[in-house]
Formats: sequence, C-alpha cells, structure tokens
Amino acid sequence: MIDSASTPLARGRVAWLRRRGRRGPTDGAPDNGGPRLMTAIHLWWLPALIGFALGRAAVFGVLVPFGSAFCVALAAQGRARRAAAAAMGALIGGWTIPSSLWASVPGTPWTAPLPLVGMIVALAALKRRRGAGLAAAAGAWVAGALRLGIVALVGGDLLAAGVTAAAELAAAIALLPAAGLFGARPAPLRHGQIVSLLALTGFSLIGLEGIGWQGFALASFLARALVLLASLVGGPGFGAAAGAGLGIATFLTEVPLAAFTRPVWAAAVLPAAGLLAGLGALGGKPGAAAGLLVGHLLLTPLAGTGLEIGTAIFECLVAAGCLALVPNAALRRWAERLPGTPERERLHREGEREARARAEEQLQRVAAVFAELSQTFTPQDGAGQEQEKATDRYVARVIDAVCRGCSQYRLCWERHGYETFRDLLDAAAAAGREGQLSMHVLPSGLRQRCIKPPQLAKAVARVVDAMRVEAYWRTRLEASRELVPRQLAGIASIIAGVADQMERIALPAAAAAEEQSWAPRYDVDVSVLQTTPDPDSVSGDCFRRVDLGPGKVAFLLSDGMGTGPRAAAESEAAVAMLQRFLEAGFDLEFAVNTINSVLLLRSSDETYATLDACLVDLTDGTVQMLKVGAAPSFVRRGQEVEVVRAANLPVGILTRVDTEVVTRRLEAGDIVVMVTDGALAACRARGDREEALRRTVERVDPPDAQRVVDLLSARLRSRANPAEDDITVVAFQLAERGRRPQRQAEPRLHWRPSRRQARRTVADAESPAAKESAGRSASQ
Amino acid sequence: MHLEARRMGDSLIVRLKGELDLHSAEAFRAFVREQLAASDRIRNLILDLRAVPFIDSSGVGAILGRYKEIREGRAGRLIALGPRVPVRRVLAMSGLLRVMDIAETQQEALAMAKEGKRVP
Repeated sequence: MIDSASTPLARGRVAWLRRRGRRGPTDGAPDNGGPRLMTAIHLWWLPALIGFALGRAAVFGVLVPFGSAFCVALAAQGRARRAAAAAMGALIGGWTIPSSLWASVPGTPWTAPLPLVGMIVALAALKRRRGAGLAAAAGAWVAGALRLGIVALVGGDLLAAGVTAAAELAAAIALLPAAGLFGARPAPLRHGQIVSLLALTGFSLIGLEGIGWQGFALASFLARALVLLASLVGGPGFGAAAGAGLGIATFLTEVPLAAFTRPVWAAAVLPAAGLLAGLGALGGKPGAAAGLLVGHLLLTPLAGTGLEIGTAIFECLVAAGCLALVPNAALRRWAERLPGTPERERLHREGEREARARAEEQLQRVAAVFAELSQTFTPQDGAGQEQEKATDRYVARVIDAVCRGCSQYRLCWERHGYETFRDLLDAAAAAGREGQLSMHVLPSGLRQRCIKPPQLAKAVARVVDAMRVEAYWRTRLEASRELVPRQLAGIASIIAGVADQMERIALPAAAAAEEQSWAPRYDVDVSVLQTTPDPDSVSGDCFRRVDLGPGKVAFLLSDGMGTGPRAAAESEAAVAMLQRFLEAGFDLEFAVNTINSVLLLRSSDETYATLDACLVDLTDGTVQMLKVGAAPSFVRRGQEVEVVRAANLPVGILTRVDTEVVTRRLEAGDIVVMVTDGALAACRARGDREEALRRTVERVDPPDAQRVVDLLSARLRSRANPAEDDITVVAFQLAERGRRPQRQAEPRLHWRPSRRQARRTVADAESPAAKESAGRSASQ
Repeated sequence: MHLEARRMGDSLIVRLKGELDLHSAEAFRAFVREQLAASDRIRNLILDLRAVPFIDSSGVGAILGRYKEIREGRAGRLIALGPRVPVRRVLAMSGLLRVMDIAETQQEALAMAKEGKRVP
C-alpha cells in the first residue's frame, strides 16, 4: 500500500541499480536503458493499480469521485509521475465500469479523462507555489466543474454530478496525507496518515467490487486480509478501526437499497472480527486467524444465506493462509511505523538510548578536548631554573652597580669569586629579612675585601627590593596564567560529569511511567518569612520552591554573602543553577558539585553563597536535605525536634565540596524549618541561638508551619535592636492529600518588603513580562 | 573594629578587636590585603581572634577570601588564634575549620606555621 520503495524487494533493486552506477527510483527522470524501464515500472504500477480501482469505484452505483480525487492529491503532493500513472489507471477504470452502471453514473464514459485534467490543474497550481491543499482544491474544483459541464452536455443527473463534484473535493483533501506517503522515506505514521490510508484502502475496495471468480469476491477477500493484517500489526484497536472503515466501504458498494443484507452483515462483522482478531493476535498468527473466524461465526444471525456465510468463512481462511506467508519480520517493521504499538515503543526507546549514548560519547570527546587544552596551557614546572636565573640576575645587577670598573674586581671575583658570590647571597637574605641593609651587617669577608661597602650595601638593598617587586608581579602574572588551564580543566570535569549522568537522568519511558503511577500521598503547606535590615535594599537571601514533576517538590534556599544587590545576585544565581539541574533530572549531590565547579571557574571575586536544599517526595514523605555552608535546619517529627546541620564551606571555595545528603521519612503533620544565618544571629542575645530556635519550633502546639513562622516573626519584631543581616525562615509541613485545605499553590509571605522592592514590584506588575515571570518567582 | 598587624618570619599575625560582621568585614578585608601586598614573603596568616566576640556570615566570607588568597597565591596556611566558644562554633558551622587550624597561643600558632603544612 505504501510506496514500494520501502519494501525489501525494492531496496534490493535500488541497490542493484546503484551498483551499476545508475539512479534509483525517484520521480526524476531515470538515466537510460533497462534500469529506466524498471524504474518506470516501479514508479507507476502501484499508483496505476490504485487509480484503476478508484476510477471504477461507484458509491451506491452513482457517484465516482475517487479516481480524480486520488490523482489530484498525488499531483498536489508533487508526485507528478505517480499521478500520471494513477490517472492512466483511473482512465481505464472509468471505462471499465460495469455496463449495468453506465445509466446510473452521470456522464459515463465521457467523464473518465477527468482525473487527467484534475492532475494537470493541480500540478499547475503547485508550480505557481500554491500549497498542497490549495492545489488539490483547484484540481478537484476544475474536475468537478468540467464534470457538471459534460453531464449538462451529454445529459444525465445533474444533481448526482454536483454531489460527485463535492465528494471529489472532499476526497482529494482526505487523500492528501496518504498521497504524501508515495515516494517518501519510510517513517513512523501519524494518525492523520493512517486514517487517510484507511480511506484510500476502503475506496479502492469499492472499485474492486464485482471482480471475482466462482462466487469468490476479490474485494471481500482483501477486506478480510487487511483487517487481519491490521489486527496483527496494531492489535485490537487497529483491527476494529480497519474493520469499521472497510466495512463501511463494503456498505457503500451495493446499488439496490432493498437488498442490504450482505453489506450490512459485512459492515457489522468486520469491526467485531477485527477486534477479536486483534485480541487473538496476542497468540500470534493462529490466534488472530481464530479471532477473525470467531467474529464471523458470532454474527451469523445477521448474515443472509448459508452460502454467504460459507463464502465469508472461506475468504477468512484464504486470508489467514496468505497472512501466514508474510514473514514476521515484515509485520514487525510495519508495526514499528504505527503509533502506540509495542514495537514502536521499543524502537522509540532504542532510538532514545542510541541518541543518549551518542550524546554521552560526544560530551566525553568535548571533555577530552578541554582536558587536552588545559594540559597545553599548564605552565611547565621551572621553579628551580627560575630561582637560578633570579640569583644570576641579582649578582649581575650588583656587579654592574658596584664592582664593574672597581680596582679590586679581580681580587673579589677572580681570586675569591666563590666567597664573594656566597657573601652576596647572605647579604641579599639579610636585606630581605630586615627590609634594609647597612654596611655593618654585610658578611665579614665582604667587608674585608670590598673597598666600597656603603655603596655595596645600598646596591644590594636596592636590587633586592626591585627584585622583590618583580617577583611579586611575576607571581601575579603566573597566577593569572594558571587560571586559564584551571578553568579549562574545570570545564572538562563539568562536561565529563554531565556525560556520566546522561544515562541516569533519562529514565526509560516504562520506568518513568511506573514512577508516575504512584499517586502523591501528601500535600505540602509552606510559610515563608523574609526581612531585610535596610528597607531600601533587596534581600541577599533567595528562596524558591520548585515542582519537579508529579509527587516531587524541592525547596531551595541560598544566603549570599553580606547583604544588598550583590548578595542577592549571588544567591539567586546559585538557586537558579540548582533549580535547572534538578529540573533536568540530576541528583542533588551532582548538581551541587557542578555548581561548585562552575563558581570556582569565576574570577577571584569574594562572593560566596550557601546552599540549603530540601527535596520532598510527596508519595512517601521522604525528605532529602543537603547543606553547603548553610545554617542548620529543624525537623519536627511528632513532638521531637531534630537539628540537621552540616559543617562545610559554601560553594566556590574548594575544588571538591564535602556534601552529605541527610534523608528523613516524614509523616503528615511533620514540619521542616529552614533558616538563613540571619535568623540565628537575630537570637544571639538569648545565648545558644540554635537551641533557642529549636525550642521555638518545639513549642508550637499543635504543629503548624504558619504558626512557627508567626512565632518567629513576633520574636524578631520584639527585639530591641533591628536585624543586621537578611533573614529568611521557610517552614513547610506535610499534610495528607485532600485532608486539609491545600495552601501550597502560593507560599505565604510574611515579608517586609523594602521600599525599593515595593516600587519595583509595582513597576513590574505593570509590565507585560510581569505575568510571565510571576509564576516562576511566586515564592520570591 | 580595631586591627593590628605584625610580621614574624613568613607569617603575618593580624589581631582583631571587636565584632567581625557586615560593618567591619570590608575594613578587615582591605587591611589584610594591604598587609599581604606589602610583602610577597608572607606565606601564613594568623588571625588573632581572642578579642572577637562575634562573627557573622560577612565575617566568614571575609576570612574565606583571605584563605583563598593565602592558599592560591602563597601556598600558605591560615590559623585562628584563640577564638572564643561562640566564634569557634560559627567557624565550625560554616566549615571554616576544615581549612583553617586553631591554636590557643601565639607560640603554638607560629609553630604550626613553621611546620609549613599546606592546607587543603
């Protein structure tokens, strides 16, 4: 049914043609000789056959719209040669309409060439850069208008001709997706294409009505074979759909409306048989054949005569026999092109896996390139040589300044050369240690030999000082040169880490579906308190709630060093990076380590940010907590309050972050309180601040996240001295899903916004982008 | 905050008096930078915290900056001298004790510096 270029036979032929250095089957002109003939055959035989069937397909023995519709659709899709072949087939088909129908089909046989006309018009429209739909409509419209004209000229039912013209237009549009498959590379089918193909098959079967031998009808046999095929490759759904489509087609064939018995039976039995065949297909070809037969037997009461039943059963058996000859590999290949089939899923998974492996390999290559670059830029270790050179430079400069031209030069540097050299090094050490040098602290040997000790002491001090400055700047320069390889090595390590995680982050579709099948058991209720010491500044803390698909939510809190916009930028950058990593499916530890590597690559700006992350699984109440330089958190389970702390440095300081993920299983009513160190500092007048906060969390009865925040808010307001650092308190509480009002859509903000932030908020709210960003930063 | 610096060998001893917080962190940072820039022979930094009652996150950040400078620029060592219990707790909580040592006396601090063991 699809372009035969996709069949193994055709591929073999193409390969044969290519081996001989000639072009394969395309719509373009073939080269020459024998292959040209073969290519031409390959191009036209299937469209011609279909065109023939469609050209003689008469709905209710009156309407013949499909021949021209198919040719027009092929032409509109740019398949000119195939359209021409189909038009020839339709022409022949139009002339071979059974003579009994000539009277009822208006304009026969004069309307037979109309497919050719429609095709030419569609091609012309396409050449004028019209779209496929418009070209098809133009072709069908012209063919329909001509049909009306011909019928008006030769005499006939003008109403029927008008209905045919309208059906021509509709069918041309409906057949466009199927026409696009001719000559196209094999690819997974979309639903529209499947429906269109089904319509094309049904219309073709109408045209085959009347062709048979000894009571064996070709159309009836093909309908059963196709239903069986659809059941085998697509399962019960496809089987039933194919049965329904082909059953309706069978229903449309017969002329005498009073004798609807056989078409009605066929229309009813084919969907049921397709469904049962699809169910039976689980047992392979024998099962599908058995399902088809059972479907027919179950609906025998609707059938006409025993002969019809016997014929139908015979056709089923022949169809099953034919299908038995089709190799399973071919069936699998067809199944891979249908949506929703296990074969398609498997192919999809394999494709994903291959793409992932390729991406991983590519990333590893990129990482290797960066590692190589890092090696290239790494300065060679020449510390010893550099020291030697520095000593030589020092001595040379002292000689130039004092000894050159001195009458004692030969005594000092020839007779006592080694001693002088050693004494000068000692003098340099003394100058370096003391910062200055007088002639009295020169080594005694030098004092005895040198006739200009004051000048020598001054020269040594000056040269040492100059070289110290030079060394300082050299060190700075080398440090900046070392920054490049270090950054390249860091990038290499980040990319390699991402490549390693590729396999893990992309769960197979089945596993992901399985994960999602667990419905969340809990809701989470969040309350947030944020204050800034300076009402005119922004908070340096950043809190964000991130929903990570069904049943998972993350609470991310960062404290930028200091206060104000710079701290805010730091904390927001850290939280944003962590959010992106978590949303991409990376685990917490990897995400934090990568952020650390990224921050290490920056310049030596003294800006750091802590990270405090809580990952909550709402299906079972598991909470994963990870802290990097962050203040302790408080976990209240029942009446007990546990302090979770981690003594590690903020991100961006060391090459490796010492992280530890703490996991706790919470129940409904349990609360987790995350704070920044501003909240701890605010309690400092009360002794052990951590213990004070722990007791506050413990005192709230009954446990309620909002009350925890209210209590802390009241405590901070009551303090005599205002807070000096940004304060953020986040309390979230698990609740049985649906047991209490869900409040997590918007975290409650007990925020005393600064005047600048308030002004900004008003301005933002009036901007068009405000609505877009509001959802992302609702928790800010 | 009151700041004093004294150089002993290849160690710089900085004595702090007062709270190291948001208000004083910048002054501390600038002071130590200036002292370190005066000589490239300084390898170790000893922070005398005996007279510091409180450190906040800005103070921790300032110390971290000095740690980076000492580690990366001079391959030296950072030592805290006699921090009080609350300050020690902040240093521990912020992870600083993973990269800096604590000495109770100046002699002990200088001895540690002389060992020349490089911090991680």
